[in-house]
Amino acid sequence: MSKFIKNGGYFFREIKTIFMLNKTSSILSLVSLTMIFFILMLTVSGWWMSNTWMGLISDEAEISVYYVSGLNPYAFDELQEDIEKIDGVNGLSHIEASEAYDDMEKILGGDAKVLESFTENPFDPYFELSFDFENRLNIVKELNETKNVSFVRDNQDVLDQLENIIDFIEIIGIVVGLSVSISTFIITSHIIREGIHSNREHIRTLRLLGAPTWFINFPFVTEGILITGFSAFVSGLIFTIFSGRLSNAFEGTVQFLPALDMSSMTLVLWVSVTALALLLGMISSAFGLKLVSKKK
Amino acid sequence: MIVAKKVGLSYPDGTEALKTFDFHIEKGELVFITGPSGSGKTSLLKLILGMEFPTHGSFEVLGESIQSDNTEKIQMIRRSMGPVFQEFRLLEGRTVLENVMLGMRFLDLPLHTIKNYAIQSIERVGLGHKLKHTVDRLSWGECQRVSIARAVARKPVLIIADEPTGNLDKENAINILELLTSFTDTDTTVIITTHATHLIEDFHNGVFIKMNAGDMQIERRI
Repeated sequence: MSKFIKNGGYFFREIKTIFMLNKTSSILSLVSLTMIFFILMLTVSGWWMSNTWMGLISDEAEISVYYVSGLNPYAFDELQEDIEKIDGVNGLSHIEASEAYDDMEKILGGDAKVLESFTENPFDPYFELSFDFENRLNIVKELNETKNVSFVRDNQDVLDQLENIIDFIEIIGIVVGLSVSISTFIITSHIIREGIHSNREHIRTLRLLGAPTWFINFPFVTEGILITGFSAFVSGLIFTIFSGRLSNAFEGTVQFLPALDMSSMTLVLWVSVTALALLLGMISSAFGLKLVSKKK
Repeated sequence: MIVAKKVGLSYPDGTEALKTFDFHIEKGELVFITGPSGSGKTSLLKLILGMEFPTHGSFEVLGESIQSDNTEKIQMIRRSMGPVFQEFRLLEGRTVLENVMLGMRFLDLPLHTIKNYAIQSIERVGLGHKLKHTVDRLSWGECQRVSIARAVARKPVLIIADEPTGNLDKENAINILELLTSFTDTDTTVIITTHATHLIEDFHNGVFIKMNAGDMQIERRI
């Protein structure tokens, strides 16, 4: 450790020299890595947003259970008990026909006048169920088989489509994540190899003077870590600005999707991607050095 | 210091760089290795520096056997040596002091000691007034002096100079040789290779190794 501290200034100058010897290449690598990490952040944030929305939607999802008209009180109680017994049903409330009418009036707002054209209340009473989203398919199946149930409305198609979109985004996320890791690995290894190539005489001299391997390698590995870390930091900065603007622009655009608080996600993402970048920088630099030392 | 018993060196392409030889070099001796280009001088230095390994025989440097590619052992041996290269191997853009300190940065010495040793050795080679000059602005002779300062600053037990006079005029070459040989006063072994035999005519003490097509003739003068 004392040797690191003692040589801090020397290592810093060496890192600067290595960077400056391949200035154009290093700057281009910085820019491309920044863009790569930005794409990763966009993908992860898209996946996070869709997951959060899916969670919010599924929390608010309800199943409406309509029953045959004219049930006697005994059959009504029996139906209620049968529904409550179904695995995954968390709660049950009965909506009277008048309540259903009022709810629709609220939803339609200014267009509610259309309801006045009916001479009688067109809505039927029903049961409204809160439930475990994961069990919804089984719940719907059992409800359809329950005695005196006439119709089950569960918005299954919409929820299935949403889930498909989330699965798709997740696959994209994995593919982009892998691509980012591989690209970062290749770019950083290449920078390190180039740095070693440009400094080969310096390295040879150090070897002939008996310098230990860590002393020779340290500036190169540090340079790799700094380049990837700095790229991730800059991409995080751009992403923070971008996500703030995106969030403002999005607010209220799609009514059934609630606005999300992206600030905490942005910070977590920024820190995580920077940590990932530092790790990738370290591994790929070590790999770059190994490739070169194998050749010698 | 260096002991060779029935040592030979052949390269993978079949070239016999050094024919079987024996020798021993003691502490504080001055050794001149002479011979034309391609006679095996550099191959012998490579053996001593651990850049090549003997094809057969037993070769010991500073009490350590040089037989296989053991990186750590080789690094340790090299840290006790002071190599001076024909092409100087100085870092461009760095000052004289930085170049000399470079050879000691990884040793177990505090920074102020490293700096003191570096300044002392730079003063000894007569460049005390150019400590802060970048090596790019120095003459060939001065660069060779910096290279020597870097080699001796870490107080090696063995100085190896490969054609240290190769790029210098006669006056500078003699000055460099006198400087290098002066380190034997402190019990440091000094090995110098040169193809310019006329430059060493005035030296009457030491080990003189004449190389020719991989063969060597050893003469010890007292």
